[in-house]
Amino acid sequence: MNSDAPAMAEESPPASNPPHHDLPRRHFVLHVLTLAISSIVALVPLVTGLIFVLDPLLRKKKSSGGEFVRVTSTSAIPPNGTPMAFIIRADKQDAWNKFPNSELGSVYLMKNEADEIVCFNARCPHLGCTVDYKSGKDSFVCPCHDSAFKLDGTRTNAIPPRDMDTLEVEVRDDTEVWVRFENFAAGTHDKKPV
Amino acid sequence: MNRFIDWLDDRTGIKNIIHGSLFEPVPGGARWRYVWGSTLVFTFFLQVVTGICLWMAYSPSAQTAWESVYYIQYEMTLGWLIRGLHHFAAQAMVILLVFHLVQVVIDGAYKAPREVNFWLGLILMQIVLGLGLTGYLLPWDQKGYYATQVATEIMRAAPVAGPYIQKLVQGGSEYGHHTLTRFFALHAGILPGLLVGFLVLHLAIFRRHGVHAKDPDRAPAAPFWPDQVLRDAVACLAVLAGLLGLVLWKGSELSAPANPGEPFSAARPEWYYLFLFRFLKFEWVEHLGLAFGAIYLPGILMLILVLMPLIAKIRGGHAFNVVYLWLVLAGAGGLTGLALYEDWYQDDEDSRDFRAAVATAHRDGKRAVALAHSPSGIPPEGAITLLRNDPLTQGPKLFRNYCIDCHQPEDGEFEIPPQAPMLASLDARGPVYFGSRDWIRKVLTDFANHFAPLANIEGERAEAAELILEGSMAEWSSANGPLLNEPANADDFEALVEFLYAQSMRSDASPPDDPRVIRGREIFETGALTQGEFDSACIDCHAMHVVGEEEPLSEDMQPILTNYGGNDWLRAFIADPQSHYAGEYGNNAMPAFAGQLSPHDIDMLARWMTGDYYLPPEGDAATH
Ligand code: FES
Repeated sequence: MNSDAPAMAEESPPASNPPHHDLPRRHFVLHVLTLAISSIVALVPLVTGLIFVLDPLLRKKKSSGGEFVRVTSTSAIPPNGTPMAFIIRADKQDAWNKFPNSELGSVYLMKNEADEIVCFNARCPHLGCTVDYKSGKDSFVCPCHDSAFKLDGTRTNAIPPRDMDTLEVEVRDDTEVWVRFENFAAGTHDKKPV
Repeated sequence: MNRFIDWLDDRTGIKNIIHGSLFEPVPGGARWRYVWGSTLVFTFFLQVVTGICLWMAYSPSAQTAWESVYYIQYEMTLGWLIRGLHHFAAQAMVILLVFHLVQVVIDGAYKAPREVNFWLGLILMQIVLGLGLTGYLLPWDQKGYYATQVATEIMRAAPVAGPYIQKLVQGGSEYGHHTLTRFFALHAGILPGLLVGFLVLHLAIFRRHGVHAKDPDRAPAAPFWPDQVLRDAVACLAVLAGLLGLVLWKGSELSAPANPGEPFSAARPEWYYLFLFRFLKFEWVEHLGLAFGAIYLPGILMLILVLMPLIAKIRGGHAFNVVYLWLVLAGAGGLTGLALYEDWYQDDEDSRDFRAAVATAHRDGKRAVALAHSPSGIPPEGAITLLRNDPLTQGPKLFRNYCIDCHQPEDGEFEIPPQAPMLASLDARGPVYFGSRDWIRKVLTDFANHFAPLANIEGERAEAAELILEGSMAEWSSANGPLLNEPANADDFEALVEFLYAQSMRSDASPPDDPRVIRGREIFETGALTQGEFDSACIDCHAMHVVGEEEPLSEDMQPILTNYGGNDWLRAFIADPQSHYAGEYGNNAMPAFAGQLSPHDIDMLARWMTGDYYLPPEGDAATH
């Protein structure tokens, strides 16, 4: 490209005005104006585009979690305290689609010593894999990086940043087990909803 | 900063490049007539920016294209603005292209040594037109779907390879997922890539020859910066302002989701192809064949354009070129005007039908958006089901096709007289007369008039019709109607109507524990009014099972009034009126529709008539 300049100089008549050295004083306003208008013209689309792309940060969350979901009946939970895995199903809003009754995640339900029902989100607080229940060892172990938890959810090694995430449980009409299902950020010490 | 620039310059020569482009001398000084090229580059920049944004949100498949565009337009932050800009800038590009071309031709800027650049420009023009064509389909709405289908059918008319080209472009013999994936790849990948490539060549060659000055001696040459840049920037600003104005004023439309089973009589190509569309409608063009009108002739016109630099070498060639261009533009403009006039202003049947079709298309589009916006949202099967399962959309259509000839409204023009009571007006969208409180009042007190059109029935069903008009309900109405109309019984009349209306369980019906409903029920059972008494109570002839109660009030009698005017009653009634409603003891002159209409159709019709469909809350209409 820089070979253009000399080539052009030969072709086109030489500029009768001396180049821009004289212009700044005379046309300072002109320069500022030109720069300003050019910037507006370039920035309007760029900024609009940027805001559009930031949409996920700007929109108010349309949550498909955080509501109570009916999971099972009380009789399905073993009386001896063995955890049982259940899949959580609820309506899910994914951008434009509403998926009725779709799988949001899984939980463990079990009875504690006081015979209350306890619920853990099966998502590992380390990096989000699904934690297994090892019946032989009476503990939860994550297959990904070996996070391990006691049956009450407390961690037994330093791999996970916190204990397993408990979820609120409600027994309705004496038999129906409802859980307020939510996912929490993995990898953080505090339990923060995502 | 300076050291960095020096470092960069040392390795790239950037200073020279910038200096070369900014301080390139413009012979004859800066002029407004040179701005068109820059505005084109600017609109292309705008398209790239907005296009990349849309790309991040668009999903090309038959079940997600409309849906994702809906989401962009109505849900995403500034989505309406991004899509609107993209939509209008695409059209602005076509206009600016024409301006640019006209300016190049009348200034003689296409002549040697700039021929190659002129040809590059023509290639760029084809690419831009291709971008417009491919982009129009992407929202997968009725408008784009049917307009684009015309274009791919035209491809088919091309000699020899036509059918193969068509199949290749649309990714199969039918429109579907692969039509979208291919169009999208063309629109967002291949064509913009080519455009960038040719644009770089176009600009490089432009730089090589410099601005072609119309009259270089008019003023001293001035460097490109700032005089010409200012003019270019102002022109771009004007374009931007115009586009923003259009987005705010008009916005970009999204018509109903594409549905191959739903004809779209409002189909037209994008306005800049209207001239071709209108041209193809001339009888003599049709006579010469689609290939002639849509391929050969435009091809020849284009070829002459390509040959312009060579024609200019002949004496008088330039003048010919200029005249030719103006003629072609005048022809295209004239045809466009003619097409617009015929569609929007002419007062004949075709034009009126077109305008009605456009109005319907707008309404369906809005309705689809309202349903997508409703709490039930877009189901996994896609938005096409929204209108398909919408009683407010399907009901009136079915009503017009199957019911209206007999159940004539007063506002219609029909050749044969009505044969059944009026149920709804011709273009009914809102509440239907059938089953309303007023309807019930009429049946009770003015039966003979209400059902008078039955007298017009001829043939097989005439006997049944006659029996209705002379039947026991007609007698009851003329004997007891006046009693109900007594001022002293006004409240009782209202209560009876309310009780009967409540059986429909329509959303505006009173609950069972409403005092009027309770009183109405008493009257229904006993026939005793404040003043006087019916000669026979309703319950003596009609079966009635009040909804939610274990025991029926009365059974084994017909006509059945259980859920009268409600969804279940109406569905069963439309399917087979005689067996559901009249049975052995009664008469019904309406034919059974179970054979003609599917259960889904009957459901749509019934739910439309009972008002069982979603209505957006006031003011929730998609605003942008
Ligand atoms: S994700 Fe469970 S241990 Fe890492």
